[in-house]
Amino acid sequence: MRGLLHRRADVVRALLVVALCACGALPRVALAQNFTVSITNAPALQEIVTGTTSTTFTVSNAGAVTVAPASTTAAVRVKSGSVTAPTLTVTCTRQGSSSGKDCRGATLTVRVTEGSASGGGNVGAITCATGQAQPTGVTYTCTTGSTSGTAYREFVYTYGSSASATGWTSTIKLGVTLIVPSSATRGATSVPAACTRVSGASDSFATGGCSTLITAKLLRAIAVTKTSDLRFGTLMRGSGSVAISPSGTRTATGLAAFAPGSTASAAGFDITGEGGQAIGVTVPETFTLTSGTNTLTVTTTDNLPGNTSAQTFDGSIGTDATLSVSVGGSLPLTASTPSGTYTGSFTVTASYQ
Amino acid sequence: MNVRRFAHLALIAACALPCMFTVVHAAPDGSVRPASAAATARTVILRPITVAAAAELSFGRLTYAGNGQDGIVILPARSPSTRVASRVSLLPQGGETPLLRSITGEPGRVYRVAVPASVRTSAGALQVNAFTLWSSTQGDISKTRLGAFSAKGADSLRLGGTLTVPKGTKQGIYAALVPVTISYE
Repeated sequence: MRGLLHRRADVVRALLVVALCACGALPRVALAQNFTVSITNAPALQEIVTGTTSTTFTVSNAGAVTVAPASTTAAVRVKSGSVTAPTLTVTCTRQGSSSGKDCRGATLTVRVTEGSASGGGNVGAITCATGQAQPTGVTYTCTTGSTSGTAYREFVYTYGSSASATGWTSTIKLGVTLIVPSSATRGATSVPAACTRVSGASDSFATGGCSTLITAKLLRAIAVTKTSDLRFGTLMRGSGSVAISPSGTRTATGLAAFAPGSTASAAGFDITGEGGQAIGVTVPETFTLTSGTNTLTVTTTDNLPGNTSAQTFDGSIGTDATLSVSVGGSLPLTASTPSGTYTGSFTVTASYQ
Repeated sequence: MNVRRFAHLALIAACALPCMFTVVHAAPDGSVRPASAAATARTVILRPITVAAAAELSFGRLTYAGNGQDGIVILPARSPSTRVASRVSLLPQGGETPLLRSITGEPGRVYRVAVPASVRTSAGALQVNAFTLWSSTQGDISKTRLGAFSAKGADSLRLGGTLTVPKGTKQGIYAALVPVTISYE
């Protein structure tokens, strides 16, 4: 008799549980998921020439890059164009195949913390990016906050009953900024990030590749300084030509001649910039000397090896480098070249490649 | 146009619009600013100098007339180049003349004359030194050695000197080749 009563009580309890579950009075057990969080596609702004004004480079969640302020003293990218936008990816996978332990019906809050950039000592900022398409049943919100002076963004994921039970993957394109102060240390720099779980997903939470938000290589501004002018000296006309080599050696052909005692020199320029970096140097092939209405055409020669547009500073990044450029030229003369003092100028230009 | 093709074109258009939008808005990130510096270039073109020899330096016919000490003959550059002698007998018909050069060059330009400190006569190897110079445009340029071309680009240069005549020098015509270099100053 007593055993019968126990059996009846068990049946009643079982029926009660079934009834409660059926009407939703008991919470669904849905915390046994595997979550992984990562940030990928960190944008590479590549070479940035530092300026004398603190400059902010902003990468939109579409990958477009804008710079502020728009000033000639601001830092500037060597190569323009779009970059990748960093992507925050959260993946939920059901743990095992038992019902109730799936990727539905809960929330997860992930905090992405910005850090000080390595190398350049700069600080990036993450732009909240709302409204991006998510898997069925998954929504997110983005909030801003800070703790102990460190800014962060929190992404709250809600995955309802309509979310996939077996798993889903959420991707959010982030916006990010890189601030390059005038005092930035030159060299490779990257803004780190850390992804942490604030709440939810107590069963399994892992991060991978969640370390870098943006990278760049900060370079010293390039500068060109003239060290000497091109001087042909006094010439005596005649059918032929005169030339000044980049090393300053003068030669005359035909009946053209240097006047005895006159001095000649090649032009010199010092190009300073970041060690180890590729630069292009532009030397005009020709330029004009004028004396009143009379003109002479100078064909230039220089001491740069190979193509002037493919030069490289000695040394390595982080060190100052100087590339010295010498420019000579040749000047054709005839027996009827008008007498006079001929003057002109030419410009040597250099830029990072 | 069938439905599939219409859908295909619509897809291309839908893709193209945001792509164009991205390119247009990528521009504000700027491009690198090149650095540059300018150098000047300069030259002076002049008419070449021409030098025509009209006469070489000759002290004419002479003979030693001293009692042991060296004699001297001075032939001035300036016209008239009349010889002056000490312990030397100056004889006629010797064709004495200063060195004469007709030179042309850039009108108005200054030129420099370079001569050696001394030379030897062709006959007897007597010493000639203390050269004097006369420019038709500048006059006596013995100290400055700087002449100038006329407005027509010409000048005449005369060079005189002093001949040392040692004891025992025989009668003869004593002339010397004096290398003269003229260049723009």
